[in-house]
Order: sequence, then C-alpha cells, then structure tokens
Amino acid sequence: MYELKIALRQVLSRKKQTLFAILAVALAVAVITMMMAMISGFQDELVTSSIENNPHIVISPQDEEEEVIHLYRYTSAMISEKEGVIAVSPKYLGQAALEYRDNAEGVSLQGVDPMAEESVMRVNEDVVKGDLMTLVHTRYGILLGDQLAENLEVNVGDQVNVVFPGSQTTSFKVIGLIHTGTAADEVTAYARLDSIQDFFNEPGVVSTIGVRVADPYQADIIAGSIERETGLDAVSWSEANAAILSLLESRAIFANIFYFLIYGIAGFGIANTLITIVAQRTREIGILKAMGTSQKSIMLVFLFQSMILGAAGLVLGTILGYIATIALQSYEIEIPQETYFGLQTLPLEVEPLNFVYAAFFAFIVNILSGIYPARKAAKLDPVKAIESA
Amino acid sequence: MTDESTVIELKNLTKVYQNGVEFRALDNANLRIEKGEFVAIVGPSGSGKSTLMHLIGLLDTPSSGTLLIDGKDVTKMSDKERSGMRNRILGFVFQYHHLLPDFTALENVMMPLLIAGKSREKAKNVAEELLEKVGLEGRMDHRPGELSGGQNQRVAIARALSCSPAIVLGDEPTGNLDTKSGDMIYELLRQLNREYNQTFIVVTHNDDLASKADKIIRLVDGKITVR
Ligand SMILES: Nc1ncnc2c1ncn2[C@@H]1O[C@H](COP(=O)(O)OP(=O)(O)OP(=O)(O)O)[C@@H](O)[C@H]1O
Ligand SMILES: [Mg+2]
Repeated sequence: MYELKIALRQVLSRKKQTLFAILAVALAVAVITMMMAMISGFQDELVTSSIENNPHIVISPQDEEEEVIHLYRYTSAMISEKEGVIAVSPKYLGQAALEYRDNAEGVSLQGVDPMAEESVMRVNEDVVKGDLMTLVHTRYGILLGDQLAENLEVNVGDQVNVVFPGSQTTSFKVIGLIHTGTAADEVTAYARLDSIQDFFNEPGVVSTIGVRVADPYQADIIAGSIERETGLDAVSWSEANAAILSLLESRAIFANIFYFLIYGIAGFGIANTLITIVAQRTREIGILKAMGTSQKSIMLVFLFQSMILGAAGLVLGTILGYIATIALQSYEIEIPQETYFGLQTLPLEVEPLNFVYAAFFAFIVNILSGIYPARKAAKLDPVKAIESA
Repeated sequence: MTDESTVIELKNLTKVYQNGVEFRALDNANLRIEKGEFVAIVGPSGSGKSTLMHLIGLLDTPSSGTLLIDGKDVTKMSDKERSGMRNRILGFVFQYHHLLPDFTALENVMMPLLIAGKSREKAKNVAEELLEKVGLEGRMDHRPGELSGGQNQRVAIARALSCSPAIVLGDEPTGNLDTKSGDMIYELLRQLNREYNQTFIVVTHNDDLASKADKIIRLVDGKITVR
C-alpha cells in the first residue's frame, strides 16, 4: 500500500494545513454531538416529566352529554384489580371562585382522595408548605398553588371562601402550598373529594379517574382494555401528549437540516484543503504518474488523505463533543420555566449511539468531499503537471 | 514489419498543439530504434525533442500516427495499461531531477518498485544496489533538499533504472549540471547501457556527447532530418 504511505507522508509534511483541516471536522462533529445530546436529553426529559406529572391514564365519561362518572367506587375498584395498575385516583373537577378579604380568583378545584391522589400523582413532591396528607383529617382544608396564594394574599392557616352560583359558600382552611413551576400554580387548588362533591351538590360522582401503571410504555394497552371493559373513555399519557411528541419529531427534522448544513460546511472545508494540497502537489503527482502510478492509485492517495484528516477530526471531535456535553451538563443553565414545561436546567443526554452516528456521517462526508479533488488529481496531464513550478 | 530487435517504432507520429493557431510540434515522424541502442536526440530549442520524448515515455498522447513499443500499439491503451508500461518498461530522467521532496533518496528509488507491487524488502535491496552503483552509498537517507544537483540527478537515474526498464529516456539529463558532473553522468549512462543492454534515448545539446552515441537523431521544426 504505497498509496497510503504517500498519503501519510504528504499529510504529515504540512502540519498547519493538516491541523486546520482536522479542526474543521472536529468542530463540526463536536457541535453535532452536543446538539444531539440536547435534543435527546430534551426528549427524554419531556417524556419523563409527562410520565411523572400526569396520570399515566386518565379516564373520563364516554359521551359528550354525560359530564360525570357514576358508580366510580365500583369502577375504581375494578381498575385497580387490573394487571399492571399500581394506583387509581377518582377526582372531582370544578371551577369556582376563591375569596379572601377583598381579593377573588377563579380556581380549578380538584376534589381528591389524598392517599389515592398521592399514589397516582406524587403531589407531595410539589408541596412546598404543609402536607397533602393533612387533608385526610381536615374535612375543610385546601392546598393552593403558590402563585394563586400570592395573588389572593393568603397564607397557610388563613380561611378562604369558595364561591359558586347555586352552591352554599363554604369556608376552607389553607393547609399547604404547591409549586410545580408551571402555569397551573396560578389556578390549582386541592381539597377533599367528599367536600368538593358536597359543595357542588354532586355526591357519588367524579369527573375523571387517574391511573398509575407499573410500566408507562404499557399505558396504551392498559387504556385500551379499560375502555373495552368499562365503556368509559381512557386516554394514555402518550396519546394525551401526541401533539408535543409530534412537535418534537418535526424539531428533529429541522435538527437534521442543521446537521446537514454543518456537515456540508465541514465537507467544503475538507474539499478546499485537498484542492489546495492537489494544487501544491501538482508536480509530484506528475512525477508519480511518470513512475507508473495509475489514475486509480493517484485517486487513492488523495482519498486516503481525506480519510486520514477525517478520521483524526472525528476522533478529536467526539472527544471534544463529549467533554463539552459533560461540562454543560454540570453547569445547569437556567432556562425560562414557562416555555420549557417546567424544566429548570438544560437537559443533556450522553447517548453513545449519537456519537457513533455523528462520527459515521462525518466520515462519509469526508470521503465524499475527497472525491472531487482526488479525481482532479488523477486526471492531471502528466507533462503539464511535471512542468508546473 | 517489425522484427524481434526493434523496441520502438514511430509511424507518421504527429503532435499538434491547438491554442488558437495550429502548431505541429512533431510532424510525421518515422523512426525505428533497436534493442540496446544508445540514441542521441539533438536539435535547436523548440524543435520538438521533449515532445518526442514525452510521447515515447507515454506521458503524452499523439494527435495522429502510431507508436509501437515492444511491438504493441500504445496509442490505443487504457490508462491502466499505459501506467503499467511506464512503470515496468520505461524509465524517465528529466532535466531537473524531479524527486519526491518528502522522501529520502532510498525511498525515491524504491518508489517505482513499490508501485510495481514488489515487497519493501526486495525494493530496498534493489534501491541500495543502484544507489551504490551511482556512487551515493553514503547519502541514501538524505532528502532531495539535502543533496547537491549532481547527486539528485544520480538519484533520479537510479530511480529510472530501478524496475530494470527496457527503455531509459533522458531529456537533457545533464543539462542542469556543470561539464564535469555532466560528463560523469553521461559516462555512467553509457556504461549501464553496455552492461545491461538497455535501450537509451537521450536528448542533449552537447554535440561532443552526442557523437559518442550509436545513433544521432536530429530534429528541426518537428521533423526528423537525420536518421
Ligand atoms: N502545451 C503546449 N502548447 C502549445 N505549444 C507547445 C506546448 N508544449 C510545447 N509546445 C511547443 O512545441 C514546440 C516543441 O516543444 P519542445 O518542448 O518539444 O521543444 P524542445 O525541442 O524540447 O526544446 P528545448 O530544447 O528548449 O527543450 C515548441 O515550439 C513549444 O513552444
Ligand atoms: Mg525540451
């Protein structure tokens, strides 16, 4: 393989040129691996947060005219018997107004069984003051979103009035505050299921039943079987987030276009370096031809050079990309909460396969960008090449 | 008819350059060179000597006519066949040494052997032997930048001979050297020619040197005038 030997010698004899060509590839690979880490990290984070912050399955009444679920105790008991189901939480949802002194705010009242709701939703993780479990022995207790409490200017221990036309205005004691970091903090209030049912004069019915399952990726199947057995509407988390998940998919398309452009730029960099090398080495190419090197072998010499530059670049690039990703991961960049579903730091996921992809495509791009200069070298007229200065 | 002893035969070989105006650099050349001959090509500057050498050396293609090397029509060959012949049958020495600057003298002489697919070991042995023959045994690991003009030219001759070519072509191989080194190299070529019965075709402006050749070919305006 004298072609490889010549390629190596030529690459090594132009250290600066070689270094810059390698850096171009390395930067492209590093940027792309970082982008990939961000995108897959974001996707993972989103899936995790939709799994953590929502019931895996939400059961609601089947038809449009029916607004509530009757016989929810029986239904809940039946669902909790199903295989793969961990917890079931019936819930009454109602809109009402909260009044404290001169302040009034609209709220979305959630009447829950504290134990059941905690098992399904892990509400207590977001409770920043008080405890959801206090509801168990507080008939007229209420937990408020921290933003809502701030707007009403109430504190834990204060009494607030819940008002709804046609209902008896009822006084609740604020026993806790909730912070989820989302817009829900402005409107959410938790109280006991029986209190809320009584308040709305709808004993014995609920609006939805939340379900937690052991394996979130089985949620679709379990939801389907619940629908068949109960005749109610059951929506899994992935179905509920279909819009966001497909949004992520379309973002992936844009990311791919972006990768394509970066690779394109790196590719032109390599091509440019090689064209320069071919121009500088014209006379030597002529000499090699005079010695009997075929066009095919001349092409190989330059393809090898692009491969050497590319291989060095992608090794350096994956290392750089890895270090940068790890560094960014520990740096915890603050991002606007509302825009990103309550994420507090930039989620980055180091996915080994992503590095393989990035490196693989970089190598392909390298070979492709080497073809034109290599062909140009192979087609050189030997006499003209030798006589060139 | 080509008989056994003819290695090179030109039939109406013509090279026309066409940049706006037509220029006949080689005009209907007919020539036959025998195996083992030492041929000198002379003629004024611009008469087409290099053009002829490039055609015979398969570095250039004729506009018309045929060129037979070892009885084979080389004008109809593919790049692979032509480069193969350049490698194994032809050895070229230019006016300027044209060595590869990144490689040592030894590596430069080994290169045609490696191109021919010979093992490194074999190539090294042959190259060392040839470099000794041209008197460079102590300079093998020097790069062209570290050698004198005459030394480089001797490396170039060793390189041209490395694949034991049937035909050695020299386009003013001593043109860039002082008379003494020039004479020495010329003497070396003549000696190798006698020793190995290789065919030598050498372009020279030196009538003295030319007179020692077996055959002198004079070119004027692209035409062969004396055979
Ligand atoms: N690529 C080219 N395009 C046009 N004309 C050319 C080209 N190469 C050579 N010529 C012309 O062909 C003629 C023969 O050139 P050639 O190099 O063969 O001369 P030469 O006998 O080797 O001269 P010298 O002794 O100066 O080396 C010259 O007039 C030259 O200008
Ligand atoms: Mg000339």
